[in-house]
Amino acid sequence: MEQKTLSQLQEGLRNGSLSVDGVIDDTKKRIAEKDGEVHALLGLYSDALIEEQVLLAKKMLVEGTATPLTGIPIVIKDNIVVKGEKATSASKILEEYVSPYDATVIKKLKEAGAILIGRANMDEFAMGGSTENSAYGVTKNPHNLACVSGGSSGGSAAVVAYGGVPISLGSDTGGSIRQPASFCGIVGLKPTYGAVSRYGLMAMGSSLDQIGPFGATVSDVETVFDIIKGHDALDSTSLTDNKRERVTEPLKKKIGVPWSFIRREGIDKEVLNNFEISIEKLASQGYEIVDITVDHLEKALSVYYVVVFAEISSNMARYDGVRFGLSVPDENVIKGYFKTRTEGLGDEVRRRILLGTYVLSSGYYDAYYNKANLVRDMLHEEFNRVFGHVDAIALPTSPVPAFAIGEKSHDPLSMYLADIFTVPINIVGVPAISLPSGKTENGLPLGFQLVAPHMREDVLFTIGKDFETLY
Amino acid sequence: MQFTKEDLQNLSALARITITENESEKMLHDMQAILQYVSEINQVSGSISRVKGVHYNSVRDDYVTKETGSLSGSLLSEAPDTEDGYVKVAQVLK
Repeated sequence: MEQKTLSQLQEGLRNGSLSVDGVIDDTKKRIAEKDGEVHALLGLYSDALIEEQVLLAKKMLVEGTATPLTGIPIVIKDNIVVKGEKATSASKILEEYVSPYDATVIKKLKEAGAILIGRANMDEFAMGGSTENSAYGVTKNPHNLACVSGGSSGGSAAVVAYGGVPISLGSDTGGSIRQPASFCGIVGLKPTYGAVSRYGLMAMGSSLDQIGPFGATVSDVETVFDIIKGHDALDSTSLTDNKRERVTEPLKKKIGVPWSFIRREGIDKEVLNNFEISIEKLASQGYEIVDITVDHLEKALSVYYVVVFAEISSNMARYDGVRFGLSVPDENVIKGYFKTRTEGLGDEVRRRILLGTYVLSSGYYDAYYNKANLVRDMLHEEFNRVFGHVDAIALPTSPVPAFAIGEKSHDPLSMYLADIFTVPINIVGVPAISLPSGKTENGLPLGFQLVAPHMREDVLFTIGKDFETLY
Repeated sequence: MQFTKEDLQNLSALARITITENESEKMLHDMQAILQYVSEINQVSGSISRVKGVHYNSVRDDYVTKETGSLSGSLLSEAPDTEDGYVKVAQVLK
Protein backbone atom coordinates (compact mmCIF):
# COMPACT_ATOMS: atom_id res chain seq x y z
CA MET A 1 0.00 0.00 0.00
CA GLU A 2 2.80 2.40 -0.93
CA GLN A 3 1.58 6.00 -1.36
CA LYS A 4 1.53 7.02 -4.97
CA THR A 5 2.41 10.49 -6.18
CA LEU A 6 -0.29 12.77 -7.51
CA SER A 7 0.78 12.09 -11.09
CA GLN A 8 0.65 8.30 -10.57
CA LEU A 9 -2.83 8.53 -9.01
CA GLN A 10 -4.03 10.75 -11.85
CA GLU A 11 -2.89 8.26 -14.43
CA GLY A 12 -4.41 5.31 -12.56
CA LEU A 13 -7.76 7.08 -12.23
CA ARG A 14 -7.78 8.05 -15.90
CA ASN A 15 -6.87 4.63 -17.27
CA GLY A 16 -9.16 2.81 -14.87
CA SER A 17 -6.49 0.80 -13.02
CA LEU A 18 -7.51 2.72 -9.88
CA SER A 19 -10.98 3.68 -8.65
CA VAL A 20 -11.88 6.75 -6.59
CA ASP A 21 -13.38 4.52 -3.88
CA GLY A 22 -10.24 2.41 -3.80
CA VAL A 23 -7.98 5.46 -3.53
CA ILE A 24 -10.02 6.89 -0.66
CA ASP A 25 -10.19 3.55 1.19
CA ASP A 26 -6.41 3.18 0.90
CA THR A 27 -5.91 6.73 2.10
CA LYS A 28 -8.06 6.19 5.17
CA LYS A 29 -6.28 2.92 5.95
CA ARG A 30 -2.84 4.48 5.71
CA ILE A 31 -3.92 7.36 7.95
CA ALA A 32 -5.44 4.98 10.50
CA GLU A 33 -2.22 2.99 10.48
CA LYS A 34 0.26 5.85 10.79
CA ASP A 35 -1.42 8.87 12.31
CA GLY A 36 -1.62 7.45 15.81
CA GLU A 37 2.13 7.79 16.25
CA VAL A 38 2.77 10.88 14.09
CA HIS A 39 -0.35 12.93 14.94
CA ALA A 40 -0.41 14.93 11.72
CA LEU A 41 -4.19 15.26 11.71
CA LEU A 42 -6.63 16.90 14.09
CA GLY A 43 -9.52 15.02 12.51
CA LEU A 44 -11.08 13.77 9.30
CA TYR A 45 -13.75 15.74 7.46
CA SER A 46 -17.32 14.49 7.72
CA ASP A 47 -18.34 11.41 5.75
CA ALA A 48 -20.96 13.58 4.05
CA LEU A 49 -18.32 15.93 2.62
CA ILE A 50 -16.03 13.10 1.54
CA GLU A 51 -18.93 11.21 -0.05
CA GLU A 52 -20.14 14.31 -1.89
CA GLN A 53 -16.68 14.86 -3.39
CA VAL A 54 -16.29 11.17 -4.26
CA LEU A 55 -19.57 11.27 -6.22
CA LEU A 56 -18.52 14.44 -8.01
CA ALA A 57 -15.11 12.96 -8.88
CA LYS A 58 -16.66 9.80 -10.32
CA LYS A 59 -19.07 11.87 -12.39
CA MET A 60 -16.24 14.08 -13.71
CA LEU A 61 -14.16 11.02 -14.64
CA VAL A 62 -17.08 9.44 -16.49
CA GLU A 63 -18.06 12.65 -18.26
CA GLY A 64 -14.50 13.44 -19.27
CA THR A 65 -14.45 16.72 -17.32
CA ALA A 66 -11.80 15.54 -14.85
CA THR A 67 -9.10 18.00 -13.77
CA PRO A 68 -5.63 16.97 -12.60
CA LEU A 69 -7.00 16.90 -9.02
CA THR A 70 -10.18 14.90 -9.64
CA GLY A 71 -10.36 12.00 -7.19
CA ILE A 72 -7.12 13.05 -5.47
CA PRO A 73 -7.13 13.04 -1.64
CA ILE A 74 -5.85 16.22 0.00
CA VAL A 75 -5.31 17.39 3.59
CA ILE A 76 -5.93 21.01 4.63
CA LYS A 77 -4.17 23.02 7.34
CA ASP A 78 -6.67 23.74 10.08
CA ASN A 79 -6.57 27.53 9.62
CA ILE A 80 -8.30 27.27 6.22
CA VAL A 81 -12.07 27.02 6.50
CA VAL A 82 -14.39 24.45 4.93
CA LYS A 83 -18.16 24.99 5.05
CA GLY A 84 -19.91 22.94 7.72
CA GLU A 85 -16.61 21.57 9.09
CA LYS A 86 -14.54 22.35 12.14
CA ALA A 87 -11.58 24.72 11.79
CA THR A 88 -9.66 25.30 15.01
CA SER A 89 -6.27 26.77 14.02
CA ALA A 90 -5.09 24.29 16.69
CA SER A 91 -6.39 26.69 19.35
CA LYS A 92 -8.64 26.11 22.34
CA ILE A 93 -10.43 29.35 21.49
CA LEU A 94 -11.83 27.75 18.29
CA GLU A 95 -12.23 24.21 19.62
CA GLU A 96 -15.90 24.00 18.61
CA TYR A 97 -15.87 26.43 15.68
CA VAL A 98 -17.69 25.27 12.55
CA SER A 99 -17.23 27.41 9.44
CA PRO A 100 -20.30 28.82 7.70
CA TYR A 101 -18.40 29.20 4.40
CA ASP A 102 -15.68 27.82 2.15
CA ALA A 103 -12.32 29.52 1.69
CA THR A 104 -11.70 30.40 -1.97
CA VAL A 105 -8.98 27.73 -2.24
CA ILE A 106 -11.45 25.17 -0.88
CA LYS A 107 -14.07 26.22 -3.38
CA LYS A 108 -11.52 25.75 -6.17
CA LEU A 109 -10.42 22.34 -4.87
CA LYS A 110 -14.02 21.19 -4.56
CA GLU A 111 -14.83 22.32 -8.09
CA ALA A 112 -11.73 20.51 -9.35
CA GLY A 113 -13.09 17.28 -7.86
CA ALA A 114 -10.41 16.89 -5.17
CA ILE A 115 -11.35 14.81 -2.11
CA LEU A 116 -10.84 16.77 1.11
CA ILE A 117 -9.78 14.20 3.70
CA GLY A 118 -8.82 15.83 6.94
CA ARG A 119 -7.59 18.78 9.00
CA ALA A 120 -3.87 19.13 9.60
CA ASN A 121 -2.26 19.97 12.94
CA MET A 122 -0.25 23.19 13.20
CA ASP A 123 1.17 25.67 15.67
CA GLU A 124 -1.68 27.59 17.25
CA PHE A 125 -2.81 30.27 14.76
CA ALA A 126 0.31 29.40 12.71
CA MET A 127 2.60 30.96 15.31
CA GLY A 128 5.65 28.76 15.68
CA GLY A 129 8.08 26.55 13.83
CA SER A 130 7.56 23.09 15.32
CA THR A 131 3.82 22.45 15.97
CA GLU A 132 4.75 22.35 19.66
CA ASN A 133 2.44 25.35 20.10
CA SER A 134 -0.62 23.33 19.02
CA ALA A 135 -3.22 23.12 21.79
CA TYR A 136 -3.77 19.52 20.68
CA GLY A 137 -0.27 18.05 20.90
CA VAL A 138 2.86 18.03 18.75
CA THR A 139 3.14 16.44 15.28
CA LYS A 140 6.14 14.10 15.27
CA ASN A 141 8.57 13.81 12.40
CA PRO A 142 7.82 10.65 10.37
CA HIS A 143 11.59 10.20 9.81
CA ASN A 144 12.36 10.27 13.54
CA LEU A 145 9.53 10.34 16.07
CA ALA A 146 11.70 12.07 18.70
CA CYS A 147 12.01 15.11 16.43
CA VAL A 148 9.58 17.85 15.43
CA SER A 149 7.96 17.89 12.00
CA GLY A 150 8.62 21.62 11.73
CA GLY A 151 5.98 24.28 11.58
CA SER A 152 3.77 25.93 11.59
CA SER A 153 2.30 23.67 8.85
CA GLY A 154 3.85 20.56 10.46
CA GLY A 155 0.78 18.36 10.10
CA SER A 156 0.39 19.17 6.40
CA ALA A 157 4.04 18.20 5.80
CA ALA A 158 4.07 15.07 7.97
CA VAL A 159 0.93 13.53 6.45
CA VAL A 160 2.46 13.74 2.96
CA ALA A 161 5.83 12.51 4.26
CA TYR A 162 4.38 9.37 5.84
CA GLY A 163 2.33 8.67 2.74
CA GLY A 164 -1.14 9.48 4.07
CA VAL A 165 -2.03 11.68 1.11
CA PRO A 166 -0.07 12.81 -1.95
CA ILE A 167 -0.73 16.55 -1.47
CA SER A 168 -1.78 19.05 1.20
CA LEU A 169 -2.25 22.76 1.76
CA GLY A 170 -0.44 24.89 4.32
CA SER A 171 0.14 28.57 4.92
CA ASP A 172 3.47 30.39 5.05
CA THR A 173 3.96 33.67 6.92
CA GLY A 174 7.69 33.36 7.65
CA GLY A 175 8.60 29.87 6.45
CA SER A 176 5.68 27.79 7.69
CA ILE A 177 5.43 25.76 4.47
CA ARG A 178 9.10 25.59 3.45
CA GLN A 179 10.63 24.70 6.83
CA PRO A 180 8.34 21.72 7.60
CA ALA A 181 8.73 20.55 3.98
CA SER A 182 12.48 20.60 4.56
CA PHE A 183 12.25 18.81 7.94
CA CYS A 184 9.98 16.12 6.45
CA GLY A 185 11.83 15.60 3.16
CA ILE A 186 9.16 16.80 0.72
CA VAL A 187 8.50 19.75 -1.61
CA GLY A 188 6.76 22.90 -0.28
CA LEU A 189 5.89 26.07 -2.21
CA LYS A 190 5.33 29.57 -0.83
CA PRO A 191 3.75 31.40 -3.77
CA THR A 192 4.09 35.12 -4.53
CA TYR A 193 2.23 37.31 -2.04
CA GLY A 194 -1.20 37.79 -3.59
CA ALA A 195 -0.96 34.88 -6.06
CA VAL A 196 -3.38 32.66 -4.12
CA SER A 197 -6.54 34.05 -2.49
CA ARG A 198 -6.50 34.15 1.30
CA TYR A 199 -10.26 34.52 1.67
CA GLY A 200 -11.05 31.94 4.35
CA LEU A 201 -7.51 31.72 5.73
CA MET A 202 -7.39 32.80 9.37
CA ALA A 203 -5.19 35.89 9.33
CA MET A 204 -1.91 36.08 11.23
CA GLY A 205 0.45 38.55 9.52
CA SER A 206 -1.71 40.00 6.78
CA SER A 207 1.13 41.59 4.80
CA LEU A 208 3.01 38.26 4.82
CA ASP A 209 0.54 35.32 4.84
CA GLN A 210 0.21 33.13 1.76
CA ILE A 211 -1.42 29.72 1.15
CA GLY A 212 0.63 27.10 -0.69
CA PRO A 213 0.90 23.37 -1.47
CA PHE A 214 3.01 20.43 -0.30
CA GLY A 215 3.76 17.36 -2.42
CA ALA A 216 6.31 14.65 -3.07
CA THR A 217 7.51 16.19 -6.34
CA VAL A 218 7.84 19.63 -7.96
CA SER A 219 5.36 18.67 -10.63
CA ASP A 220 2.72 17.69 -8.02
CA VAL A 221 3.13 21.01 -6.23
CA GLU A 222 2.90 22.87 -9.55
CA THR A 223 -0.36 21.07 -10.38
CA VAL A 224 -1.97 22.17 -7.10
CA PHE A 225 -0.66 25.73 -7.46
CA ASP A 226 -2.15 26.02 -10.96
CA ILE A 227 -5.57 25.12 -9.58
CA ILE A 228 -5.60 27.32 -6.45
CA LYS A 229 -4.02 30.49 -7.89
CA GLY A 230 -5.92 33.38 -9.45
CA HIS A 231 -7.47 36.74 -8.69
CA ASP A 232 -10.27 36.81 -6.15
CA ALA A 233 -12.43 39.87 -5.53
CA LEU A 234 -13.03 38.60 -1.99
CA ASP A 235 -9.36 39.11 -1.06
CA SER A 236 -8.31 42.73 -1.50
CA THR A 237 -4.62 41.73 -1.52
CA SER A 238 -5.16 39.27 -4.36
CA LEU A 239 -3.20 40.26 -7.47
CA THR A 240 -5.36 41.37 -10.36
CA ASP A 241 -4.82 39.73 -13.75
CA ASN A 242 -2.82 42.62 -15.18
CA LYS A 243 -0.36 42.28 -12.29
CA ARG A 244 0.12 38.61 -13.10
CA GLU A 245 1.31 39.22 -16.63
CA ARG A 246 5.01 38.74 -17.04
CA VAL A 247 7.72 38.68 -19.64
CA THR A 248 8.95 35.13 -19.92
CA GLU A 249 12.45 35.57 -21.23
CA PRO A 250 14.54 32.42 -21.45
CA LEU A 251 16.44 31.68 -18.23
CA LYS A 252 19.95 33.07 -17.90
CA LYS A 253 20.76 29.87 -15.97
CA LYS A 254 22.31 32.05 -13.28
CA ILE A 255 21.75 31.44 -9.59
CA GLY A 256 22.79 33.91 -6.90
CA VAL A 257 24.07 32.68 -3.54
CA PRO A 258 24.51 35.11 -0.62
CA TRP A 259 27.51 33.16 0.73
CA SER A 260 28.47 35.53 3.53
CA PHE A 261 24.90 35.42 4.88
CA ILE A 262 24.81 31.62 4.71
CA ARG A 263 28.24 30.88 6.20
CA ARG A 264 27.23 32.23 9.57
CA GLU A 265 27.52 31.32 13.19
CA GLY A 266 24.74 28.95 14.16
CA ILE A 267 24.41 27.11 10.85
CA ASP A 268 24.67 23.35 11.28
CA LYS A 269 27.80 21.85 9.66
CA GLU A 270 25.88 19.14 7.85
CA VAL A 271 23.37 21.70 6.54
CA LEU A 272 26.16 23.89 5.17
CA ASN A 273 28.01 20.93 3.70
CA ASN A 274 24.84 19.64 2.05
CA PHE A 275 24.08 23.09 0.65
CA GLU A 276 27.56 23.39 -0.86
CA ILE A 277 27.16 19.98 -2.49
CA SER A 278 23.78 20.99 -3.92
CA ILE A 279 25.30 24.13 -5.39
CA GLU A 280 28.10 22.10 -6.97
CA LYS A 281 25.55 19.73 -8.45
CA LEU A 282 23.60 22.62 -9.98
CA ALA A 283 26.84 24.03 -11.36
CA SER A 284 27.54 20.66 -12.98
CA GLN A 285 24.10 20.93 -14.66
CA GLY A 286 25.24 24.07 -16.43
CA TYR A 287 24.01 26.67 -13.96
CA GLU A 288 26.31 29.61 -13.37
CA ILE A 289 26.65 30.30 -9.64
CA VAL A 290 27.34 33.89 -8.60
CA ASP A 291 28.15 35.22 -5.16
CA ILE A 292 25.70 37.98 -4.24
CA THR A 293 25.33 40.40 -1.36
CA VAL A 294 21.97 41.71 -0.29
CA ASP A 295 22.24 44.76 1.96
CA HIS A 296 20.35 44.53 5.26
CA LEU A 297 19.61 40.82 4.81
CA GLU A 298 21.04 40.32 8.33
CA LYS A 299 18.26 42.53 9.67
CA ALA A 300 15.45 40.64 7.93
CA LEU A 301 14.67 38.48 10.95
CA SER A 302 14.14 41.50 13.18
CA VAL A 303 12.10 43.29 10.54
CA TYR A 304 9.95 40.21 10.16
CA TYR A 305 9.23 39.78 13.84
CA VAL A 306 8.39 43.45 14.43
CA VAL A 307 5.96 43.43 11.50
CA VAL A 308 4.42 40.08 12.39
CA PHE A 309 3.94 41.02 16.07
CA ALA A 310 2.21 44.25 15.05
CA GLU A 311 -0.11 42.50 12.60
CA ILE A 312 -0.86 39.69 15.05
CA SER A 313 -1.93 42.06 17.79
CA SER A 314 -4.40 43.64 15.36
CA ASN A 315 -5.67 40.41 13.81
CA MET A 316 -6.11 38.58 17.10
CA ALA A 317 -8.35 41.30 18.54
CA ARG A 318 -11.32 39.56 16.91
CA TYR A 319 -11.10 36.63 19.34
CA ASP A 320 -13.10 38.15 22.14
CA GLY A 321 -15.67 35.47 22.95
CA VAL A 322 -18.59 37.59 21.78
CA ARG A 323 -19.58 36.44 18.28
CA PHE A 324 -17.92 33.06 17.91
CA GLY A 325 -15.43 30.73 19.53
CA LEU A 326 -14.79 30.05 23.20
CA SER A 327 -16.57 32.39 25.58
CA VAL A 328 -15.81 32.47 29.28
CA PRO A 329 -18.35 34.84 30.78
CA ASP A 330 -17.67 37.12 33.73
CA GLU A 331 -19.65 39.86 35.45
CA ASN A 332 -19.17 42.28 32.56
CA VAL A 333 -18.05 42.19 28.93
CA ILE A 334 -14.54 43.51 29.58
CA LYS A 335 -13.78 40.98 32.29
CA GLY A 336 -15.14 38.31 29.97
CA TYR A 337 -12.60 39.35 27.29
CA PHE A 338 -9.77 38.80 29.75
CA LYS A 339 -11.02 35.40 30.84
CA THR A 340 -11.77 34.20 27.30
CA ARG A 341 -8.43 35.30 25.84
CA THR A 342 -6.43 34.05 28.79
CA GLU A 343 -8.04 30.62 28.83
CA GLY A 344 -8.43 30.27 25.09
CA LEU A 345 -5.02 31.39 23.79
CA GLY A 346 -1.68 29.64 24.35
CA ASP A 347 1.60 31.13 25.60
CA GLU A 348 3.15 31.96 22.22
CA VAL A 349 -0.02 33.62 20.91
CA ARG A 350 -0.38 35.72 24.04
CA ARG A 351 3.32 36.63 23.98
CA ARG A 352 3.09 37.81 20.36
CA ILE A 353 -0.07 39.83 21.02
CA LEU A 354 1.72 41.59 23.90
CA LEU A 355 4.84 42.22 21.80
CA GLY A 356 2.69 43.61 18.99
CA THR A 357 0.83 45.86 21.40
CA TYR A 358 4.24 47.12 22.55
CA VAL A 359 5.76 47.84 19.12
CA LEU A 360 2.60 49.66 18.06
CA SER A 361 2.30 51.76 21.23
CA SER A 362 2.74 55.47 20.63
CA GLY A 363 6.14 55.80 22.31
CA TYR A 364 7.74 53.01 20.29
CA TYR A 365 5.87 53.05 16.99
CA ASP A 366 8.62 54.89 15.07
CA ALA A 367 11.49 52.97 16.68
CA TYR A 368 10.05 49.57 15.86
CA TYR A 369 7.18 49.44 13.39
CA ASN A 370 8.11 52.33 11.13
CA LYS A 371 11.77 51.43 11.24
CA ALA A 372 10.90 47.87 10.27
CA ASN A 373 8.89 49.15 7.32
CA LEU A 374 11.82 51.29 6.21
CA VAL A 375 14.19 48.32 6.21
CA ARG A 376 11.49 46.26 4.50
CA ASP A 377 11.40 48.77 1.65
CA MET A 378 15.18 48.67 1.40
CA LEU A 379 15.17 44.88 1.22
CA HIS A 380 12.56 45.05 -1.50
CA GLU A 381 14.82 47.29 -3.58
CA GLU A 382 17.80 45.04 -2.91
CA PHE A 383 15.98 41.92 -4.10
CA ASN A 384 14.82 43.72 -7.25
CA ARG A 385 18.40 44.79 -7.93
CA VAL A 386 19.73 41.23 -7.49
CA PHE A 387 17.00 39.74 -9.70
CA GLY A 388 18.20 42.06 -12.45
CA HIS A 389 21.10 39.70 -13.06
CA VAL A 390 20.13 36.25 -11.68
CA ASP A 391 17.15 33.95 -12.31
CA ALA A 392 16.92 32.79 -8.72
CA ILE A 393 18.56 32.99 -5.32
CA ALA A 394 19.53 29.81 -3.45
CA LEU A 395 19.61 29.37 0.33
CA PRO A 396 19.32 26.46 2.73
CA THR A 397 15.68 26.28 3.90
CA SER A 398 16.65 26.02 7.57
CA PRO A 399 20.00 26.48 9.34
CA VAL A 400 19.37 23.23 11.24
CA PRO A 401 17.75 19.85 10.52
CA ALA A 402 14.62 18.83 12.48
CA PHE A 403 15.38 19.40 16.17
CA ALA A 404 14.32 17.26 19.12
CA ILE A 405 10.86 17.77 20.58
CA GLY A 406 11.28 20.09 23.59
CA GLU A 407 14.73 21.32 22.54
CA LYS A 408 13.67 24.88 21.72
CA SER A 409 10.16 25.14 23.11
CA HIS A 410 11.24 26.93 26.29
CA ASP A 411 13.25 29.58 24.51
CA PRO A 412 11.13 31.51 21.97
CA LEU A 413 14.07 33.59 20.69
CA SER A 414 16.08 30.48 19.76
CA MET A 415 13.00 29.21 17.89
CA TYR A 416 12.77 32.54 16.01
CA LEU A 417 16.45 32.40 15.01
CA ALA A 418 15.79 29.17 13.09
CA ASP A 419 13.66 31.24 10.65
CA ILE A 420 16.66 33.24 9.41
CA PHE A 421 16.64 31.88 5.83
CA THR A 422 12.89 31.85 5.23
CA VAL A 423 11.56 35.16 6.60
CA PRO A 424 13.32 37.51 4.11
CA ILE A 425 11.21 35.97 1.34
CA ASN A 426 7.89 36.85 3.03
CA ILE A 427 9.10 40.37 3.77
CA VAL A 428 9.71 40.94 0.07
CA GLY A 429 6.68 38.90 -1.05
CA VAL A 430 8.52 36.83 -3.66
CA PRO A 431 7.88 33.09 -4.25
CA ALA A 432 10.16 30.35 -2.89
CA ILE A 433 10.24 26.58 -2.89
CA SER A 434 11.89 24.06 -0.57
CA LEU A 435 13.28 20.95 -2.30
CA PRO A 436 14.54 17.76 -0.62
CA SER A 437 18.35 17.62 -0.83
CA GLY A 438 19.33 14.42 0.93
CA LYS A 439 19.71 13.53 4.58
CA THR A 440 21.99 13.99 7.57
CA GLU A 441 24.11 11.10 8.85
CA ASN A 442 21.30 10.42 11.32
CA GLY A 443 18.77 10.13 8.53
CA LEU A 444 17.03 13.49 8.95
CA PRO A 445 15.94 15.18 5.70
CA LEU A 446 17.50 18.45 4.54
CA GLY A 447 16.04 21.11 2.29
CA PHE A 448 17.32 23.41 -0.46
CA GLN A 449 15.49 26.69 -1.01
CA LEU A 450 15.11 28.54 -4.30
CA VAL A 451 13.72 32.08 -4.49
CA ALA A 452 12.43 33.74 -7.68
CA PRO A 453 11.12 37.21 -8.60
CA HIS A 454 7.45 38.12 -8.09
CA MET A 455 5.07 35.89 -10.11
CA ARG A 456 7.94 33.74 -11.39
CA GLU A 457 6.91 30.45 -9.83
CA ASP A 458 7.67 29.01 -13.27
CA VAL A 459 11.37 29.66 -12.62
CA LEU A 460 11.15 27.67 -9.37
CA PHE A 461 9.44 24.78 -11.16
CA THR A 462 11.94 24.71 -14.03
CA ILE A 463 15.06 24.78 -11.85
CA GLY A 464 13.33 22.60 -9.23
CA LYS A 465 12.70 19.84 -11.78
CA ASP A 466 16.37 19.95 -12.80
CA PHE A 467 17.35 19.83 -9.13
CA GLU A 468 15.13 16.81 -8.45
CA THR A 469 17.12 14.71 -10.89
CA LEU A 470 20.27 15.36 -8.82
CA TYR A 471 19.03 13.60 -5.65
CA MET B 1 14.62 51.16 26.53
CA GLN B 2 14.45 48.48 29.18
CA PHE B 3 11.16 46.62 29.12
CA THR B 4 9.87 46.46 32.69
CA LYS B 5 7.34 44.56 34.73
CA GLU B 6 5.13 47.68 34.70
CA ASP B 7 5.26 47.71 30.90
CA LEU B 8 4.11 44.10 30.90
CA GLN B 9 1.21 44.91 33.21
CA ASN B 10 0.16 47.88 31.10
CA LEU B 11 0.30 45.86 27.91
CA SER B 12 -1.74 43.02 29.35
CA ALA B 13 -4.43 45.51 30.33
CA LEU B 14 -4.41 46.99 26.82
CA ALA B 15 -4.44 43.61 25.08
CA ARG B 16 -7.10 42.15 27.41
CA ILE B 17 -4.85 39.29 28.43
CA THR B 18 -4.11 38.22 31.99
CA ILE B 19 -0.53 37.27 32.84
CA THR B 20 -0.53 35.40 36.12
CA GLU B 21 2.05 36.00 38.83
CA ASN B 22 3.50 32.53 38.14
CA GLU B 23 4.18 33.15 34.47
CA SER B 24 5.09 36.85 34.58
CA GLU B 25 8.80 36.37 35.31
CA LYS B 26 9.40 34.05 32.35
CA MET B 27 7.18 36.15 30.08
CA LEU B 28 9.12 39.28 31.08
CA HIS B 29 12.46 37.57 30.50
CA ASP B 30 11.45 36.20 27.07
CA MET B 31 9.98 39.51 25.93
CA GLN B 32 13.07 41.43 27.05
CA ALA B 33 15.32 39.06 25.10
CA ILE B 34 13.14 39.32 21.98
CA LEU B 35 12.83 43.11 22.12
CA GLN B 36 16.55 43.48 22.66
CA TYR B 37 17.22 41.33 19.60
CA VAL B 38 14.81 43.13 17.25
CA SER B 39 16.09 46.53 18.39
CA GLU B 40 19.03 45.94 16.02
CA ILE B 41 16.89 47.44 13.26
CA ASN B 42 17.69 50.80 14.81
CA GLN B 43 21.26 50.40 13.56
CA VAL B 44 19.99 50.91 10.01
CA SER B 45 20.17 54.57 9.10
CA GLY B 46 17.57 56.23 6.93
CA SER B 47 14.54 58.40 7.40
CA ILE B 48 11.26 56.69 8.13
CA SER B 49 9.58 59.41 6.09
CA ARG B 50 10.74 57.61 2.94
CA VAL B 51 8.65 54.51 3.70
CA LYS B 52 6.35 53.97 0.78
CA GLY B 53 5.50 50.29 0.59
CA VAL B 54 3.62 48.89 -2.36
CA HIS B 55 0.09 49.89 -1.55
CA TYR B 56 -2.76 50.53 -3.91
CA ASN B 57 -6.49 50.56 -3.47
CA SER B 58 -8.42 47.47 -4.34
CA VAL B 59 -12.15 47.91 -4.27
CA ARG B 60 -14.92 45.86 -5.74
CA ASP B 61 -18.46 46.80 -6.63
CA ASP B 62 -20.79 46.74 -3.69
CA TYR B 63 -23.52 44.32 -4.62
CA VAL B 64 -25.68 41.84 -2.75
CA THR B 65 -24.57 38.25 -3.32
CA LYS B 66 -26.82 36.49 -0.83
CA GLU B 67 -30.46 36.81 0.05
CA THR B 68 -30.87 38.85 3.24
CA GLY B 69 -30.88 36.57 6.25
CA SER B 70 -29.72 33.49 4.39
CA LEU B 71 -26.54 33.28 6.48
CA SER B 72 -27.93 34.61 9.75
CA GLY B 73 -28.73 31.19 11.15
CA SER B 74 -25.29 29.69 10.63
CA LEU B 75 -23.54 32.84 11.87
CA LEU B 76 -25.72 33.12 14.96
CA SER B 77 -25.23 29.45 15.72
CA GLU B 78 -21.54 30.23 16.35
CA ALA B 79 -22.33 32.90 18.93
CA PRO B 80 -22.10 31.89 22.59
CA ASP B 81 -25.50 33.38 23.41
CA THR B 82 -28.32 34.79 21.28
CA GLU B 83 -31.81 36.18 21.72
CA ASP B 84 -34.37 36.97 19.01
CA GLY B 85 -31.77 36.93 16.26
CA TYR B 86 -29.28 39.09 18.16
CA VAL B 87 -25.95 38.20 19.77
CA LYS B 88 -26.41 38.54 23.51
CA VAL B 89 -23.58 39.93 25.64
CA ALA B 90 -23.09 40.65 29.34
CA GLN B 91 -23.87 44.12 30.63
CA VAL B 92 -21.47 46.78 29.32
CA LEU B 93 -22.43 49.82 31.41
CA LYS B 94 -23.78 49.84 34.91
